[in-house]
Amino acid sequence: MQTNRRENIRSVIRKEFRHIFRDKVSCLLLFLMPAAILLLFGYALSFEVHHHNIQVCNPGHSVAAERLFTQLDANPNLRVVGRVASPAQIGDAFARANTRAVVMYRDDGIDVFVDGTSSQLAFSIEVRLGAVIADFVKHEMRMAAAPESGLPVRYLYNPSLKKEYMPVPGLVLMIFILVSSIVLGTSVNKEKIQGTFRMLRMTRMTNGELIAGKALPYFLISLFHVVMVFLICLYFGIVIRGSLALFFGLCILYSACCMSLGLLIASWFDRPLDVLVLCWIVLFIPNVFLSGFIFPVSSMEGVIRSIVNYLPGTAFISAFRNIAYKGTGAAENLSWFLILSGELVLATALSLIGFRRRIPR
Amino acid sequence: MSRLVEIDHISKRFGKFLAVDDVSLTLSEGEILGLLGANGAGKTTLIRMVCDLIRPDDGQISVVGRPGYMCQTFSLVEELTVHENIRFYATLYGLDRAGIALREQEIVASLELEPYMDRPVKFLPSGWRQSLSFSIAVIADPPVLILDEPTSGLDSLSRRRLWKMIHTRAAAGTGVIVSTHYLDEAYYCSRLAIMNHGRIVADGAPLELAATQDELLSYFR
Amino acid sequence: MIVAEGILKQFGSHQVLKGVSFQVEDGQIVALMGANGAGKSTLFDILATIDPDFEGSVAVADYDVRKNPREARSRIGYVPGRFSLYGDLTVAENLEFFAGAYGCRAGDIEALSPFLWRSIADFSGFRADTLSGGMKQKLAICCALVHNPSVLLLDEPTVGVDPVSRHDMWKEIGALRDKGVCVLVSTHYLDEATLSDKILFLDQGEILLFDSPADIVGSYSRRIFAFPCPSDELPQIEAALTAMPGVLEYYLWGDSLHITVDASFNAAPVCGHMPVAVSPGIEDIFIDTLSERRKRV
Repeated sequence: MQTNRRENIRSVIRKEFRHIFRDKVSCLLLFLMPAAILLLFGYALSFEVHHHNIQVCNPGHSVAAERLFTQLDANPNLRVVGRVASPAQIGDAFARANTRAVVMYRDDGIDVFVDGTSSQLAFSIEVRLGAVIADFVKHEMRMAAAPESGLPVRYLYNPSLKKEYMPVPGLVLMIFILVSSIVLGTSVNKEKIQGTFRMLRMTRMTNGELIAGKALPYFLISLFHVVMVFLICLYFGIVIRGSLALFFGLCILYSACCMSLGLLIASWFDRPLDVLVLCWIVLFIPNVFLSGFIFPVSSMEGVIRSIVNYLPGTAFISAFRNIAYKGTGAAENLSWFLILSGELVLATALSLIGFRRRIPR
Repeated sequence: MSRLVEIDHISKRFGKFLAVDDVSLTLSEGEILGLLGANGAGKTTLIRMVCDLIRPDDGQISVVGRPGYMCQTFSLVEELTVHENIRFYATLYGLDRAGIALREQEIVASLELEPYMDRPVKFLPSGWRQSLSFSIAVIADPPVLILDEPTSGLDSLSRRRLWKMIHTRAAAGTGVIVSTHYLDEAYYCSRLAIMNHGRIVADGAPLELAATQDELLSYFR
Repeated sequence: MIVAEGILKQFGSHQVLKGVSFQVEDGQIVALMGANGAGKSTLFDILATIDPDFEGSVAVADYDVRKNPREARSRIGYVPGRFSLYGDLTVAENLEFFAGAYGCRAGDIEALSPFLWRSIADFSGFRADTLSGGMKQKLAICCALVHNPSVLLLDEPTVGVDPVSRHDMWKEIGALRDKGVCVLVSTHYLDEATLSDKILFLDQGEILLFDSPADIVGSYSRRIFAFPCPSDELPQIEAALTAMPGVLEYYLWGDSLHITVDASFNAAPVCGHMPVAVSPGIEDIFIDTLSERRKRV
């Protein structure tokens, strides 16, 4: 019996890989799309490490100001691309040479003007300018009044506020939902509508074996993507602070949880469009938008917030940040692991019940 | 009797596969031409070329008017009701408002579809779907009617109902090309063309070609 | 062997099967006939253990389909109505996969299905969805035969299949019967029905007839007449027939017209064609029985 089970699962896995590699669309979804997401991410990063163009204004022709400007230009993330002759022309300065900020040195202080159209960029410039100016002020004790910028904040876990840290868990989350839930769900649904599910029921193969065999290839592909993400992180100098075993354990648990949710939908709904739409509406959209990846969870209120705390995506992102960035251990993340495991068990049980329903004609 | 369809030495390849190989055929007014042959003999390809759905690689086809076409899958809009399907296709065939209303009345009366009018087509029994699909194919009174395996998977009652509709049309002068796998249906046709590997291997009146279905089968080998 | 007793099946408020009882012996072919929507596919799903939600009892190869579905399945070969294999796998890969799922060897198919497998073996490297309809059905039957079942359930295996392939299939079905396999096959082809040992007429969930073709013809009592009917004369002939006393039903029969009549009918020329009495065939009986029922409903 045991060898039968292993043989059955192995033959389903072989068949499933054939389906995947023969169908251009599934190859596209399983490999090209995650690769594209990662590539865009990498591209966005290399964009980020480029410098910001700034201009300077020194109406009082101060010597100290020139020292500040030299220090600004020396910063790898900033480049002084021009000078503004008088304060009245600062507004025009932003129109030229992609200028993001103008630094004006007055005898009684330093004014910083930042292009606020992109809050993310503005924040990034502010942090970098602030660091240089704070440093400058510290050394130039002659300054009459301390400038406003450059609060003495020290950022923990990500001292230079590298943007790379932000999207990593979100990317893994998206790729997993895509590969583990959506593609697996539609593939199981296909067995139902093309009638092969009916044929398989006539054999000695059990539903559990069929589902295990179908899920494993997608699980392996998910793992492949985790490793890719891990390598990309290494490349950009993001190190996993916590235990690697715990990190991969989290990824595996989350991937299994996504699969069980995809299967849950595929087991209770028969029409391909229903399965696809539900996967997007119930899995992709809430997990991507509400899990704290785009909007911080703490900004949500009431019912939404209590739902959000139980989303697998929230659990994953929170635990990911804890383990990878803060380096916390299993004990601190127990609640997230419990949420993911609970959802995995519940969804698997419900989908096994769902698969016992009448097979559609 | 005037010629409605003239097929002159047409051929069609799909890659290396020669689906239709130098076929010539004619169809006259009131004639029912049965197209027989094994799966993959080229019947559907030939039919699609006559309907101008695909172009032949070689040869000429001339068809009088625009043919009415009914395919194996009936091509009804599953989510629309009977009433909406009739309107939809009638509009596509260019009928005006008065024409549509008149046609709809005729179809409903002749098919006894009254109780089903506001039901989505997907809930209709397959025999009725086939009759409806046929009525829609002839909605604009086409001089030529082309039916690709219209009776596949239907019980004998539904098949006979369809054949009666075909004969009624032919009696009014319509030329009909119909493909089938039922050998007994060969004898409903006024003329047969049997295809094998893309070629016409026999063309003539059913009883001249073969007195029995078993004899007819020998052309397939 | 199949033993079905009093099968009742309901979908919502719609009664699909209304007490269906019959028995198919080993080494017997039973043709299941009936209009579209008669409940044939529902019956197949019940016999094949796929649908346990019914009343009554069904035993296949001595196993109760609800109590011992796994044992019953291991004896059943089932080919559902439409093509239910993997289109993107090749012929050989499909066979290999299903053989594996049954725990058998794909290589045994040559011995189990000599006629059908031989006719598709040349295509074993082709993707299943590139095959013609006839080839697909042959492959489906091979996949259902790979575990050497003693009961074969074929739901409309010959729909859209050309006459030559149909001939091959029936040769195989006949060979299986000779080996002692019990075969239930649904079809719309009357010529296939006459090749069977018994015909089971199902209509609106009830069995109308269950007998051998010869006995069905033998016990039919109505008279049937035939006369030639060129299609251009059809409208006039129809008009003439409706005015004629004793004509119950008329229908096209190739280039002729068949009419069923009662005792008051006197043969007289119709539009110049003299009706001749013919011996009724299975199809005449099928049509007459069904139209009679439709009139009553």
